Amino acid sequence: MAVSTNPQVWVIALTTLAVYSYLWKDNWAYRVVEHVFLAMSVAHAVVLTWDTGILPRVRTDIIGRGAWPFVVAGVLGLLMYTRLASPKWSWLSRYPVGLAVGYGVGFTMAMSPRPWMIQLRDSFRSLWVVRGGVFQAQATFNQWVFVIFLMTTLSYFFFTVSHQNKLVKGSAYLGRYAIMVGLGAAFGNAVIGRISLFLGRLQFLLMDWLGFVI
Amino acid sequence: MRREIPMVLATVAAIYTFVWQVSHHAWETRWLTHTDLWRTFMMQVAVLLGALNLSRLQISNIRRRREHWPYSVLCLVVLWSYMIFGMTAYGLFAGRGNRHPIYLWFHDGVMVPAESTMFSLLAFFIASAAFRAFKIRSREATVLMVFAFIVMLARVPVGQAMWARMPALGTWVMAWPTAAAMRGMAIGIFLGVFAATLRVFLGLERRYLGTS
Amino acid sequence: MSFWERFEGMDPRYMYVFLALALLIPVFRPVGMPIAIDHAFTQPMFDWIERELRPDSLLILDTAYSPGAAAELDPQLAAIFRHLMRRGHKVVLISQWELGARLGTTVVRRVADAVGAEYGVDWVSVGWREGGLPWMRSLQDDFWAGMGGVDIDGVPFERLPLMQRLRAFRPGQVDGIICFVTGSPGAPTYITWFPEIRLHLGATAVMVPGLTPQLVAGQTRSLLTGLRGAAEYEVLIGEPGRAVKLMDAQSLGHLIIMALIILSNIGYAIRTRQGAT
Repeated sequence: MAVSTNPQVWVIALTTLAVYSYLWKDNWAYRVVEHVFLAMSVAHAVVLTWDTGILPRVRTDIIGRGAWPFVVAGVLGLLMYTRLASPKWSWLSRYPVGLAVGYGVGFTMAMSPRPWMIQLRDSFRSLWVVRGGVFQAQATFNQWVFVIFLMTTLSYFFFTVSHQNKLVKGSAYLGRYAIMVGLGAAFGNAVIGRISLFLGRLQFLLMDWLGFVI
Repeated sequence: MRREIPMVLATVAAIYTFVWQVSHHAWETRWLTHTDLWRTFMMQVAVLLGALNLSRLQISNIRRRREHWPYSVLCLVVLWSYMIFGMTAYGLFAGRGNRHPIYLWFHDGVMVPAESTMFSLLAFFIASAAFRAFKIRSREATVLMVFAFIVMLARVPVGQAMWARMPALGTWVMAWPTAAAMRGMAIGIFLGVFAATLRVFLGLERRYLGTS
Repeated sequence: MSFWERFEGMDPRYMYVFLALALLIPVFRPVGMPIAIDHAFTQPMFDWIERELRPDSLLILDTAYSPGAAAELDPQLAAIFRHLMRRGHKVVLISQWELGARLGTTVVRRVADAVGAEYGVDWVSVGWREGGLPWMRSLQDDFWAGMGGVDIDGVPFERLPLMQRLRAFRPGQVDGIICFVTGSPGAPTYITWFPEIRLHLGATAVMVPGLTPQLVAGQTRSLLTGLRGAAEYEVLIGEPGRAVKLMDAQSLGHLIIMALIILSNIGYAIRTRQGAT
């Protein structure tokens, strides 16, 4: 065991312990880290955008090539700040907002159905699987499971036909169980994920900070 | 004028991107690339909005002496000092501040571990919830728990040690029933999102412009 | 007050201390239980890199995550990058998340130094840009323009030989995408906008159920599951690392959570029965 002498490792360790102190109770150390973290992440986005977004664009396109549309776009971007100014001018921010939202909506309309069409196409399954002339019982069973789980889940959210209808009602009832299977798997995975995150920090504290060889 | 022109701009922009995206001509002329870059630059210029908003909130906390207001002072000091340092470390127009050693030292030393640790708190909260909240009160809850246990055991070596086919069972649960149920839910969500997008496209939804 | 009522009313802080201390044991002394490879989720990624990719392929690796997911995705990234370098492929690291850019670069740089991969020749990190989807879309036509012609550290692409091969984010220039995801933006960007390029995913465990339908439909060819996926990949490339070491602790963590659920339900059942009588 050789405790780290690197000051940064110590800062990381103390930051980690300060956050964990919240588990005991809310305290000043946790709140300090919380506020510092919030401030630094917002600042970091600005610095990165300045260094790798705005400056290269101004240098290469606006100054380098005289591409004036970037100036127009920049002015439109600046209009966003009127939102924080007096209400008298805040309406000007609607121009860039309208443009940005419309721009995104057009893309979504054009492109978002395609991946879902692929999913729908994949949902049409062969319910009698034969390969090389041999009936595949396991594969057939799997396909039935898939189709039944999919259809019953869909019927749970299907309100075009009243749920008083016996077929829809029965299917929606089964759908509730299908959804529970999905959510159960999601919960299982959530546990895996959360434990992993803690283990990651534990490993840092033991190996990188306290210097245990594991 | 104050709402109508932005509405028109949104509609024109939406039609433009929709038509251009599905048109081969647009791909050849690369018009979309130009407008993408203009739009991206527009958003980049507005990046300070988040910092200004956060500052406004913290200043309001300080002025009204809300609970824990001294932390708002800390937040403001760190926000602006870290930002100004990052932007000017090598000169305002050098564009290299984000890789200044001191800047990176704090990035790696405070910001990264703080977020990692905050997320890892959830491991403890899930343990706490496990013995307080997860009661099997119905058949549906039983199904949920059974499948959660299968997946949990299948994903760790001890599950395999208990029963050699546990990992395979876990894969089957994920690839067949779970995939189907998740797809059913996702299709429903997609339809909802698409309907909302369509409302904006048709000009029926205007709340994104704010209230007048 | 019965035992079960006291158990349920127990101060959760005792539980936290117990969990933390219990997990220390297997972290210190892992037993080394065998780790099975998931043939539907993990194996396809390995097979693709090992057998299907032609030599000297160019791949885009997207670190679309933040430090909150680093414990799960950093080991995946490290193992996959190591494998890619071993097979002689080239990597351009990009990020849809601003915090993911520096995070991914740190991980990859560490591995690159260990395996002798040269920056600018074997790999480049271009980082993150503000702009969302239109920014990513613009890369399809002109990668250099979309990135402003500089890498994460502001080095012009002209000085990075690898970037001469990547003028547009399109098939022919890009042979595959591996995206490490923890939320949005993430996989949908590639599934929607880059469907012609083969996609593989490394995801946090929480994301996996939601992404499985895409795996089943072939929209992604593989799906690594959190730390477990990283451990499997470390086993596959024959270099067990941090992820493998943590799998025993992961086992114990799961057993504790399951035991807590079972105990609390036994208590609930007993109390319900007592209430009924």
